[in-house]
Amino acid sequence: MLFPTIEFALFFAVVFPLTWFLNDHNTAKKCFLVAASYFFYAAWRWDFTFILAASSVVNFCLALVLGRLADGRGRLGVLWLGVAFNLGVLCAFKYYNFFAASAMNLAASLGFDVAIPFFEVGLPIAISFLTFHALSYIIDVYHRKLAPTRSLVDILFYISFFPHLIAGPIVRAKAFLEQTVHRSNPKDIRLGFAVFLIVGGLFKKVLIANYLATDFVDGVFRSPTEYSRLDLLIGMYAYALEIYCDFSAYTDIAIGVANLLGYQFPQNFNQPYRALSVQDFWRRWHMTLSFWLRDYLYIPLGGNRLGKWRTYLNILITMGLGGLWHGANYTYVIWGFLHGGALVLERMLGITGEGGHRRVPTVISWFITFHFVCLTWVFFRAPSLDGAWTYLTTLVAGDAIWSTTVTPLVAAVLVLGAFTQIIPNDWFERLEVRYDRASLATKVALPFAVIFLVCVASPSGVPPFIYFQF
Amino acid sequence: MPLPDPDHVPPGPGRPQEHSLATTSIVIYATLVLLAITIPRGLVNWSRNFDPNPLQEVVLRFAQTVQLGSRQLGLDVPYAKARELFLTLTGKQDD
Repeated sequence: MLFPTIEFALFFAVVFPLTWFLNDHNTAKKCFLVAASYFFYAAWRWDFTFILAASSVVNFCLALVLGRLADGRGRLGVLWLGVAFNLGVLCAFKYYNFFAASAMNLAASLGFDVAIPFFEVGLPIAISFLTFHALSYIIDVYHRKLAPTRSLVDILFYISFFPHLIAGPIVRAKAFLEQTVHRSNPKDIRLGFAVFLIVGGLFKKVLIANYLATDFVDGVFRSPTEYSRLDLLIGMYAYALEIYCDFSAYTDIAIGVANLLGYQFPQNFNQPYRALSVQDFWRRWHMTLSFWLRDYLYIPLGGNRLGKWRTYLNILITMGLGGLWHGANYTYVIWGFLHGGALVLERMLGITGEGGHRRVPTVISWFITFHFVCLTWVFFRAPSLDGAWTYLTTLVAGDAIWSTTVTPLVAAVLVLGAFTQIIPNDWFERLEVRYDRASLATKVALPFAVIFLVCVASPSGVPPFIYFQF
Repeated sequence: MPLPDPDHVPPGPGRPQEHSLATTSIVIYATLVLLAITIPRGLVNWSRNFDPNPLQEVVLRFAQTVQLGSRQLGLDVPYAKARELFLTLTGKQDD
């Protein structure tokens, strides 16, 4: 069930009133939202709901054990058991075939004929986000940042809550569970905030991301040698905007929908292509993943506490694994290592803050960062390393230079996409405040008008969000 | 640049509404109803996508009734005209 569909509109039209109707009976409300979330998930494949349930139950039990044990080896062992369970489930579904194929290729290159059976089950949607949420819970319980909950419903609810279930944002267990203790307060609904996120998300996904993908990006990445160097350059920018508009649209709608149900989710994007350094980029792009990797991987590895070289290694490991998390393909690993390498280089050069390097003019910092990010997206988008290499070599040394297949529609959508990065952040806040003060008729007219226009200009059918595959 | 605290989520901007639940409900349902009556063919096409069954027939009949009412009142004209204009301008075609 995709957000920009009639199915979801009807689903939400039922879930919204029932949630608030049950608000005075908090446990019943949570049970209802768990059932609704499982229904939402089962719309893709009902059998994978067992993975969701099993993960929740195992992590619930492990956290209870962690809560009872005194500090020591036993407690650490239980934590490692939990980490191994969660990563084991993730690896079995997402990486087993990748590692099996890599091992067979390696063996073949050494002259051995090894046959490893593949795991033909399919990838459960949302398994990565499910793992992040589950690990956040047991690790926080281990560090005693959070007391283990005695309510299985709370954990079922935390892990399966439908707005963040499929593609985030990654909500920390502590931040979520403290919202589930008491009934929600209807005054926590920020209507203008939620409406702008939802209609803005629909606009970004249905119009910008979809048209960029179908009318331009998919073609240039499928067969880059058939396009000019100018087209490949524009294709690189177009993909940067497509993935931003696609992914940020999903999390914006998720944040808005959760808010309408009385729950607060953290911000996940902050105009990332305005970044003045790669570090700044990661503070603006998929922020909840960046902070998750920092707190649950980089810092436990030693962070910057073990000397200069160990810090660099920790950054590379964190970004390499962050890349691999996106998918079982070397392209993602290279993408992660490129970002890790850039972060290391920035540290070496003393470029760490939002403002980039003081000796480098802002516009040059922005230009270098933006183009580095766009270039690395080529690895992220290309179907294989060969595909990425072909794209980049054709971009640099292709025969055709200036001809272009960019249509007026794609050009218009590119401008709209760029606009999402240019407009000042406080515009939205001011608009939200004005919306909240507007008459009821205006409050209805605005979302209706925007969605109406989105429908008028929408392509037929809505492809899934890019991050669903992760 | 100050980093947000991931363990606590601040509420979004804007301000609490008077009668927030009632206002939110009106906005949600009025928007959905307005979309259903101004773009009725979306609902009809959607209900045709399902395998035939008694529920699907009820939903389809309801969607067709909405479409008929919308046509008689001319409520679907702005969408049809706007869509036609968009398709003409972009050279795209409906499925």
